[in-house]
Amino acid sequence: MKIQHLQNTVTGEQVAETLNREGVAIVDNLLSIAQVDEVMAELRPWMEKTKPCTDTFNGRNTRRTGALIARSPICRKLVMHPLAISTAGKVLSHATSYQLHLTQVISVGPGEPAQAIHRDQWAFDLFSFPKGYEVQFNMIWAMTDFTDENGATRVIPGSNRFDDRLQFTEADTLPAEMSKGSVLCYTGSVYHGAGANRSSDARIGLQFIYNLSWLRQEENQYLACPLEIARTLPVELLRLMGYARGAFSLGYVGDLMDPLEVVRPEIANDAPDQLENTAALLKTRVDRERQNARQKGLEAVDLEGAQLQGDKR
Amino acid sequence: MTIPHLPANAASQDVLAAIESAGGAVIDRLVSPDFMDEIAAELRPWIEKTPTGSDQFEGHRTRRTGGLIARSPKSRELITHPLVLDVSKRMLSRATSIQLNATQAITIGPGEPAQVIHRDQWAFDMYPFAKDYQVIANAIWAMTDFTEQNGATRVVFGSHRFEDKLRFNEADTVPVEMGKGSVFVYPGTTYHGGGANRSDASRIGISLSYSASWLRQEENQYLAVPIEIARTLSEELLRLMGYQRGAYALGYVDDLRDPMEFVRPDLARRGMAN
Repeated sequence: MKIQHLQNTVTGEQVAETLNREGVAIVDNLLSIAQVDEVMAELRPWMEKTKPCTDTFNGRNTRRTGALIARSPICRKLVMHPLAISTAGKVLSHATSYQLHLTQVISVGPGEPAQAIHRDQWAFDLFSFPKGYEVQFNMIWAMTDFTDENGATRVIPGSNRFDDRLQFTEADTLPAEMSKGSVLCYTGSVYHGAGANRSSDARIGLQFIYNLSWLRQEENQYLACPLEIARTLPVELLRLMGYARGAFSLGYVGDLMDPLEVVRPEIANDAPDQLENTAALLKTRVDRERQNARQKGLEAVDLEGAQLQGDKR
Repeated sequence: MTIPHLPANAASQDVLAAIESAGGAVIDRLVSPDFMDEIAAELRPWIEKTPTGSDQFEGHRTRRTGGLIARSPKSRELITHPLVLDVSKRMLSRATSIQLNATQAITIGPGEPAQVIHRDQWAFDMYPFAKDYQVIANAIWAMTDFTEQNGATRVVFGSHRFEDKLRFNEADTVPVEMGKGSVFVYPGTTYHGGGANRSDASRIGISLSYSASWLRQEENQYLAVPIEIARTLSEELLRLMGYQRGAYALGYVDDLRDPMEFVRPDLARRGMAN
């Protein structure tokens, strides 16, 4: 199986369809070379300050620079890129909502050996999610060309349907070769790893991962993005960063308060729209659960008019 | 079938065995009633300021006051109580580490009807966890006596082993009666709900829940506890609050740094060691 290349006019729905089948897809030239250079100009000073990682998995000749919402205004736009949002919305639509899991620019230096082949969803303590229940959607934006020689991400197309906790070697994988400005999209269930960099230059990828909002974020956005910067960000981005309750009530502050109130009290105000939205989603969920339960001959829970609010009475 | 009671000097294994048999256990007078009164005094101004719930599930005559770490220094001792913490860790032993999920003083006012019977782990988008994988351990500390009349928590006995997404009525449940200073410990799989308060006084419990550290916290501790207060807290409490990476890397800050570096750089762990 080859890695599908899609044109940059593709819709999120089409990307999601490919990911559902194969777990991986490349969208060619979503950014122009000039746009890549602009974002790199913002990132470079931070990358130069970043020390190489200290363990084999992260790569001792690899620099991983995070906190990109705080550090790069262009990254804020890329995180919210319409194709990113529409694809994430489809890929993760079985859950009530999703959030930003991490932002990271990864510079794989010359001579770095290949990374162990893994699934990104193993981050969740190696919990075995059922096949087809995707918990992450991942985008790697190519800031340099990605070639077999310079350590293009190695992937196994179709491995989103494989069993969990398998071991693979480089020979089982294909290099996700793509040009600067293209984007590698894959789900958290795809077996992959950074390739060995046998070239004389760094291979740089800009990674944004989105995950289900009932799971912990890998990058702590509340600490990584100072409040003074957070206050200047668009509401949609803030909500994606976790300034919104996940599922029914996860992530509230104080007395069940919307976390958005911490940054933008003037617009949070318990956001009736969001509450209504949550109530509607909950009802859909309950209807579906009830149907499933009926099929199994069980009596389903009745939560109509009763919003789950993290109760512990 | 009543929920088992154990003495304050019970061993963790005995508490766990009781929870396994019944779906929850009460440890009697684990702290003194006086100590609960001291916490009540710290929390009273905050409880008075807390609005009542906005829907039937939250309870129109119920106040849920959060942010206890910032608001009540004495409540921190309940959060890190060695017996409850040890029992919680063992209940959640399938996960690499645990964290604090939420802190909440729940004041059920007179006349409040019974709450819908539910599982706490439904908070995680109703994900159907396998029966042998516990994700939440909850401790409800009695700040007043809990009686059948004043709305003691109601539990479906042994329901931690039941199928998911079932519906129950009050008749299927037993009340968890206990004295002030006692604590009711149960897993996120146990079906339960607040009882109806038919008395003329409030029933107050402090709910402190712990979860597998790869899940999202119900209460955002980074925002709920101001950094100036966080800097004064014990290392153990800070790590429980989430100033520690969960599993392998969850919750790092910027360039894969230990979030502890943010509050207490002197305690931060370098590299990826947790």
